[in-house]
Amino acid sequence: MHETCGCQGASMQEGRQVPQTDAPMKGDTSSQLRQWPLQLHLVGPQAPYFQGADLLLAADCVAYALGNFHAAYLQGRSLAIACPKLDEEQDSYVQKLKALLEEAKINTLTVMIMEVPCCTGLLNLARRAMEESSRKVPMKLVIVGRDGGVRQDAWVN
Amino acid sequence: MKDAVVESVLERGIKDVIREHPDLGELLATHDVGCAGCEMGSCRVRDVMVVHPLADGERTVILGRIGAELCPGHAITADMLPLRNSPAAVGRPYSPPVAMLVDEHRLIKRVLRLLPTLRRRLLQNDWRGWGHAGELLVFVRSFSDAHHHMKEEDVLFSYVDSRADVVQVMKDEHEIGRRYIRRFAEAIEKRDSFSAAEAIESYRVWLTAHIKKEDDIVFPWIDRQLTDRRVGMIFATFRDVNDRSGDLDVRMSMWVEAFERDMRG
Repeated sequence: MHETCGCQGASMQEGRQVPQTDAPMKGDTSSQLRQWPLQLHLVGPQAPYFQGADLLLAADCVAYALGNFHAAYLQGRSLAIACPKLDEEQDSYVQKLKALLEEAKINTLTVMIMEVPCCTGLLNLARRAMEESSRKVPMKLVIVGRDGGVRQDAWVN
Repeated sequence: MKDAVVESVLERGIKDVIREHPDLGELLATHDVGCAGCEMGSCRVRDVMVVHPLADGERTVILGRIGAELCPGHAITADMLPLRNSPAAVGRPYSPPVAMLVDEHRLIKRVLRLLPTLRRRLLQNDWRGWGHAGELLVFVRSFSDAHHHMKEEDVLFSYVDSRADVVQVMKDEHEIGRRYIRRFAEAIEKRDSFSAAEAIESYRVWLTAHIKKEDDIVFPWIDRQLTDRRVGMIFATFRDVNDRSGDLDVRMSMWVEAFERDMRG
């Protein structure tokens, strides 16, 4: 269905050329993940790793697109992932984020999305939660390109 | 291995350097670094090069000239400085807590724009002047100083490199402002219109330059140093301060609107 809908989020795009090599990747590739689960429907705001945390709310595709996702963005943060295009019952996402703001008292919220238009839905969910919450925190938006580059990394409130 | 000669140059006070080499002051001015005209001028060369939002190319040119004039044969390069402005950080807007302070600056600047009219009224012994002068004193003491400057001094500055001269310069500048306000308060008490007008003009000139320095140079420098963790902590502290102050910001905004109407009348 999405293959024919014409939206950028589903359109086929040949990737940029990446040198092929058998040599192992250099540098720190260790995981910075410090929790489970990750999916926004599954996470519980009462979990200890969310209390006072810097929360990273990432669209599902982000971690695959961005080569240094763990070192540059996940390190030191708690994580929740979601897809604003395919996931169902997204109103519950707003309530979950509101609980993370008010009950877990997260310190900051970083929303990471892909540059495709449908991904903006995740930012809108985060904005709705912030508007409905009695507690505000600094919110940052990181937009990742389909070529794996960072298009934007800026505070948005 | 650090070059001791270069290190001694980077540690020198920028004012001394400009006094000996006025052309360096002119060079800095062409890159919007106003050290030659700065009243405080206690920053070290190192701080000046780190604090100002220069492009890498600009910084290289300036350091090259400083090296050529102060320590020929010893190259000074940008990698000798503790620069933390990553490409992703450059050009972004203020972080939310710093943006709160910039918003407060906007309110204060609205008041500063009205001070020439107030000064004229005081000098003309216009009876309305003294009433407004008293109200202004309340605004300056409760909002500009107790609320705003204390947020900077007690919270924001404590999260950045306390060794940096620029932080001390900002605190010293706040003291200058407090001296002008004490003079203004004494003049009001004595109904000395000339001294009141003089104090308020000095305050206006000082605070206009001080706010510009913070908005254009100090705040972007601080933002480049802050981790997201610290941004969240400062933001939460500022919100606590705002909550404790009740409706101060609302009352002060309403007073500024009334002050603007009165000054037009």
